[in-house]
Amino acid sequence: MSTRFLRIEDLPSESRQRLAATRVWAANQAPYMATALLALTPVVVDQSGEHPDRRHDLSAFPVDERWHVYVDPEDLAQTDVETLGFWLLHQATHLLRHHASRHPEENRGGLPPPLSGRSPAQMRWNLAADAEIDDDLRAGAMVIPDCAITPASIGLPDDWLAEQYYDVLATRPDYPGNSADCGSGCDGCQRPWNCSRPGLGALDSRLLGRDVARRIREHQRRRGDVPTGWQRWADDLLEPTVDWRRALASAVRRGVADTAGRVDFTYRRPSRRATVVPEVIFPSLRQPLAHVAVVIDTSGSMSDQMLAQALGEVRGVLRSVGVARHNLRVVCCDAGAYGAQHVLDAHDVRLLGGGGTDMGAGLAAVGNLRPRPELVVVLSDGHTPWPPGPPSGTRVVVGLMDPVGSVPDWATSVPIGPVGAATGW
Amino acid sequence: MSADTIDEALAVAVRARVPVVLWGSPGTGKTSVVRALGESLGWPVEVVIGSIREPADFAGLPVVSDGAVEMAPPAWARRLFEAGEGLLFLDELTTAPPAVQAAMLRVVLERVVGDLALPRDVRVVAAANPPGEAADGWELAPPLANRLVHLDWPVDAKSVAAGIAFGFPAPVVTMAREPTPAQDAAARAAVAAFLQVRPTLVLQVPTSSASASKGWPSPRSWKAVSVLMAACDAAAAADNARAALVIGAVGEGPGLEFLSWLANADLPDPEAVLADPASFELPDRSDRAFAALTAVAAVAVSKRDVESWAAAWRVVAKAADGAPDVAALVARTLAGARPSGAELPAEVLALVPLLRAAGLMRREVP
Repeated sequence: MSTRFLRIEDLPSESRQRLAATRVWAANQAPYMATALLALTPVVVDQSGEHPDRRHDLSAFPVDERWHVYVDPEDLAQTDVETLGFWLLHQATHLLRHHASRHPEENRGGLPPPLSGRSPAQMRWNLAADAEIDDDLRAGAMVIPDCAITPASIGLPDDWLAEQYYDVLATRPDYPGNSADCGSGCDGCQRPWNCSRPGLGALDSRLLGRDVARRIREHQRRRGDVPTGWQRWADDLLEPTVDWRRALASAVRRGVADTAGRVDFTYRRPSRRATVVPEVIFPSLRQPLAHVAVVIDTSGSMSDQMLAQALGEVRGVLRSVGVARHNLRVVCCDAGAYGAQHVLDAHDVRLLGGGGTDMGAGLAAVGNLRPRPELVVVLSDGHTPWPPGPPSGTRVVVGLMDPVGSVPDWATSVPIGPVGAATGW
Repeated sequence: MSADTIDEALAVAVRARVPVVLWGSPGTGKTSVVRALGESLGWPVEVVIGSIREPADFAGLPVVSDGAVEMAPPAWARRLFEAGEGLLFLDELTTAPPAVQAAMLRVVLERVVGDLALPRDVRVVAAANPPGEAADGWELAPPLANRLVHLDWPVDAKSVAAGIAFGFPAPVVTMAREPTPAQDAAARAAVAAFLQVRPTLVLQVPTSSASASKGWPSPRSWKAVSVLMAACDAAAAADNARAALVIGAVGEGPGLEFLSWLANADLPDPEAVLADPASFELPDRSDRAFAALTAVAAVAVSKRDVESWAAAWRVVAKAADGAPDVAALVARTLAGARPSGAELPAEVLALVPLLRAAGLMRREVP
């Protein structure tokens, strides 16, 4: 069966006007989405000659990854402006949030899905993606149609990501109902009605996404009524958050490299190249090993789980850059410092303390250690007084566990986010 | 980014003599592609692995001759010098210790090894493993990162499967012509014009070392962008390859800013449109048409005079035939900013049915 496409000019004039009016209406409800709505190019799929049982269900006005929206003229004639506007915004959101490329890999391989329908996993992803979208579409006079999936209609909380809904739905074989098919723009799998027209490329759609994100920011500043899911999306797109694990690892690694890596030339040992030119004495390279101290804030305001995870990261990095165990000291500190320990296993360190906070005491204790450490890693929430300068001869990296905590400007600070924060955009 | 895009971007950068670094996990075929590239061009390829070298291998070995110390280049540099052209492939860039990375700076940018300046036609390509993946990696120091165009090496399950079954295809590299002086000038003008409107993007020294190890904007990397843009024009490169190169040179944020500015630079100039509304041609894509009309409306509104406002209405009326929804959206902005003493023009009547269908106009227009 080949799909028949019509030109948009072949539609009756009231249908064309309804399409245009819908875009105006939707762009008026969510002005920041205007460019995305206009970028959706309608492709008219004529199924009037088909037997009703063999027609594709285009009632959700499905999209493909190149920003084509597939329209059945009969559906168009029966849908009012508000419902059609909802679906256009809904489908543009699938594309802006890259649901096709976020679609879990496990469903991609293997046999192609049956042409007549979708695999259960595809449908589950469609449900999950719909749930992520629809709680953010309550803007202006927008009415969410009864057939649309919201987190409430599948009994889950708002503001999750599609991946989270997808995983939870897997544990509930009896999840209610099925949403209409949102097309390959939602799951990246081909549909029989997809056309081969060029459409928007990957670069254009990235630029479009940034444009929408900028409009969301602008709208939020002037009117302040952007749904939270959209705000998070825009912030993440315009200022991507660096994974704190990577930032912390990089700060610690560089700290060790800067002290240990003060690679210097010495004439104590002959260079291995001295034999090449016997009359010249080459210096060889020496690399002093770094001593590292870790100061752990054990005051009452710190959460054990975050501390364990941050400790695990620090330990992993120190091990990979070759800081030996006897070059490593751990100091627990609340209002006063406790004795230095030589271990850094999250479950081996005895976390002492739990009262008030004064990191000054911990840093002073580090300054008295012999041999003196070159690098100090402090894991703290920052709600503490700091000394006016670092212990002499040391570099300080602070893993900051609370974004509103303070860090002195002589230390490198790495904000450590909530444990397991998922950013799947 | 697909493998084809990166292959094309690599070929363009090599052609344009801009040093490139390929970021990818160990064992994903970076070295073999560079070797194939050298073979297909008939150039010698010298592979130098930084982690087993000393600074002296890049800064030259001191040799006394006639009472003066010369910095003698190693044999690989001598071979490249004699060949006159070729590829210098610096493998495992991130596993080189910081002191060696510092010594590589001059090699990467100026192709100077010891006292020997390599010929202009020796191209530098580097490869590196992301420090998070290699067990003993260092982040690239910002000065070295800024001298390179960063390309992410893609791994695509399908092409690996095909490669194992039928053999990996050698990348097809076609060496395009040198850019013409006109292409060169156009590329420079585009970058210069962009930096004039976005002066804050001229220099953004990275603050965290994790972001420092990728491309970041500086006068040097913007210069590289202009060279690469001209080379893309000469090679008629695909848009995706151009985007990969621009983003690789100056980083993702500034790179995308530049690309979207370029895309919008094709739109008609709002001042010219207002001066002569009859000449306005509506862009094909609705979102581009919207961008063009919004710009025209914004300029007309900011002028606060009746003539510009009326001219903007003529532009909107012209757009209403092809794209009534775009026209209606812009018409609302215009109507909301009517200068005192101006009459609502007759053109607005054509849009009334549409606005009413969209539920945005309840009252009857007199």
